[in-house]
Amino acid sequence: MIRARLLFWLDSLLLLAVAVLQSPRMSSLAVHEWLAVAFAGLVGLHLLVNWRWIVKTLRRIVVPDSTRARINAALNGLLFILMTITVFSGLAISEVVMPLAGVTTSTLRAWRQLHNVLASLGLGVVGFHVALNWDWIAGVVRKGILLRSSPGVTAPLSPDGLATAEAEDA
Amino acid sequence: MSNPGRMIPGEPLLERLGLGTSSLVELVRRLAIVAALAALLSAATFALVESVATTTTVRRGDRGEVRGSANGPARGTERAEGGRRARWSSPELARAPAEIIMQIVIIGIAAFAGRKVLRLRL
Repeated sequence: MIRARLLFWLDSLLLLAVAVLQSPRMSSLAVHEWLAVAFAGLVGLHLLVNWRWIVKTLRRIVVPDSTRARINAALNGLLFILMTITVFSGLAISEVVMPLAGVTTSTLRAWRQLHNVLASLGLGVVGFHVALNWDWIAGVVRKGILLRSSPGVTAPLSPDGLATAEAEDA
Repeated sequence: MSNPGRMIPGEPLLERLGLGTSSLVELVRRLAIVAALAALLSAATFALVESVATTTTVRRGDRGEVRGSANGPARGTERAEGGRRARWSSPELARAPAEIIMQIVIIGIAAFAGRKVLRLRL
């Protein structure tokens, strides 16, 4: 249960952060940059929490007739690449965070173009990522485990397709 | 009756969170793998952009410093642009609801298309 809650709220926070990060004009540049730094940390946590699924999927893609696993791995890999390069290109043109650390940022216009294009592309791939995990999201919401912890409620499957530890032990 | 919310005696917090390990060393190793991959991607991107891109943007505060000497003689200065820091110095919170909803809708459309058209699922 604790894992399902952690995953759900962590992922919700990431989704909200992605939405806010799309508009630095709305949030102000300083908030945009610091939020992006925090976002990178949360993505790291997201990967750690889902580590077993990642390892399992990577092992499965070499098995014959595992098209779905390959598509899932490719999609999640693409999302990781997009997010990494988007954050990095953002740091390359940073006007708040990096100068604070004494790093002179690039004046190349290509960094800004790359940052904007990848951020927009990332939005679509985040949507695909949500689609991929929709059954789990719907399961968590439907079973209402976010707000209460009733005896007898079975925890839904985690995004890695495994039952949560509590459900396995029940 | 099962109680999914209960604590399992002796189960470490890291395990309960579903990290799949109770070892901090293992956790650090995994984080190092993620960081190394990110660093590799970033280094490749840096090398590519810095070797291919030629046009620089002059920031208001940097004018004069950058011109003609940014990163090699071949790089031109395209346009003077006010610093984004100056233009986006304060948040426009009145725009927040509409902007956030718009982004969530775009993600929702992509999710719907992924689900119904591309039939993405675990």
